[in-house]
Amino acid sequence: MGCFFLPFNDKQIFVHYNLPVKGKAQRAAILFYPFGQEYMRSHKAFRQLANLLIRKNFDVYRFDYPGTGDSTGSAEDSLFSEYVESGHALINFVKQKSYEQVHLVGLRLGALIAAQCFSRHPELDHLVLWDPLMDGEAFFDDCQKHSPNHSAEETIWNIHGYPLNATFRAQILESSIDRIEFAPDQQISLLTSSEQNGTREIQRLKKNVQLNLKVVPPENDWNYVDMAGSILIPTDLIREIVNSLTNFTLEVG
Amino acid sequence: MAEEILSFGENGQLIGILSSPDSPDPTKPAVIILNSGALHRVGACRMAVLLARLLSEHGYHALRFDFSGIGDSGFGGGDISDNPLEARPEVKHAIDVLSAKTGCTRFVLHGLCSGARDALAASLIDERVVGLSMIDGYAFRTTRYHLKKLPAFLINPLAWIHFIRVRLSPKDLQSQTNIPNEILELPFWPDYPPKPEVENAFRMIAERKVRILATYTGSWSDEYNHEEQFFDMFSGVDFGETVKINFMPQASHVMTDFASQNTFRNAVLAFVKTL
Repeated sequence: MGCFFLPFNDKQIFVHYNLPVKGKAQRAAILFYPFGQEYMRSHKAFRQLANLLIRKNFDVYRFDYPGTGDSTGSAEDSLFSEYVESGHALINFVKQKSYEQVHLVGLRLGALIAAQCFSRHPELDHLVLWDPLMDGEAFFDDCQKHSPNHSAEETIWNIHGYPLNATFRAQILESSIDRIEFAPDQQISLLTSSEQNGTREIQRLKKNVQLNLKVVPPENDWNYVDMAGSILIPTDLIREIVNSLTNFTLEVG
Repeated sequence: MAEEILSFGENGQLIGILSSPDSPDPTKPAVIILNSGALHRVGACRMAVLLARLLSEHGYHALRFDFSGIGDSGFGGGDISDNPLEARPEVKHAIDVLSAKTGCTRFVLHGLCSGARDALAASLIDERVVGLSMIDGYAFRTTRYHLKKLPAFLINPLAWIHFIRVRLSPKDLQSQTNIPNEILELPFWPDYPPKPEVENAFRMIAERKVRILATYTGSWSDEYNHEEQFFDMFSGVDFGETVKINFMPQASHVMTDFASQNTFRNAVLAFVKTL
């Protein structure tokens, strides 16, 4: 286990890595956090996911986007494009270690970011979309539902105490799973809390993608804010992700 | 301002980020930011990160770190006592590493909620602690609390519903998540100790002239509802001029509004500057 700062443009992104319990890992997973309040609530779940994956001989990397967590940069100035580019930076770092398999796992907005990164790296093996926000509109709808009374004219939105600037909003509105082209042999797993959502989401992914869908009933609402910002650990879903990565085999079409 | 990652404690399992000023001065106190509940060292609304960076921009070392089993620190070696006034060993490890790293000999402990209680506990056994910044720490209802509360009950029946609901809410994470502890990987936080014990704890640090910034937010209105309540709660303690009350009824427990975040950070900076 360790942490380091990865240089990224004029910033540093904080990276945490877990090494396997025994031996040297042949496989790696990079975990992509969601936004804002959800990042705090899912941090423990990501830790649990990492703990379980290292027992299956994975190296696991988790990182904070620029302007979030322990990375440098201010949240007020952060851009969605920087979130995506920081993912690329970490992928390029991980690729130097010559793993046999590299998997990306993204939760909520992290899924949309991971999908963008996955499409630019056709050599990566597998993407897990965990309760994904499929586009910027979905992200906006979520923001408005849980932090209402925002107008387009406001420079900075307050989403449960996390700032969201106008440029970030404009960039994310242009982002959609529909517009992402994946390589024919890239494989995607979709873990979602709703069968209805899962079906709809699968239809939006390009038809040449190899897809696996798993529906796991929700244990709580990622966006719920209680007095203490309580964490969430959806153990069933985490176990499904571990199974998905552990049992992954590259299907040659 | 520079930041570095520290690995310390038994077997180096505790992880923290040290924010250091461009021109360090070891005669200044260093600030240590403790976890709040299960939230990791970044803090709700990134408060710990922004506070640490603000402090370091103004010449103070600031360390934010994770207790055992929280955030990125390893699990084990940090079991929480049944007595919340018993200091967690990790705080001493943090003070030790910060002392060795910076040459600082005086420390301020900052914490929200359970972190506030951990800060008080640690200050009892370590005279290097010269200041405490506590948000929504110990609070006990007083006569004046009830007198202020009574009109609200009389005119607002919803207040009764909230009163009942809060009393029935589960207190611990295991009951909220239904996850066995060996997977949850979290110790649990005990309830408040008896008020006389808390008062005695404050008396001990008041005798050492430990300075306190006590912040109470609107989320704590079920226990704390007026500015001077702190002194009523602990009326048996002669605090002298050591306590600064920062009553923020407009703020939520995790300070989701930007104005409160800003006000609070500046209040902590102003407090640390007095030490």
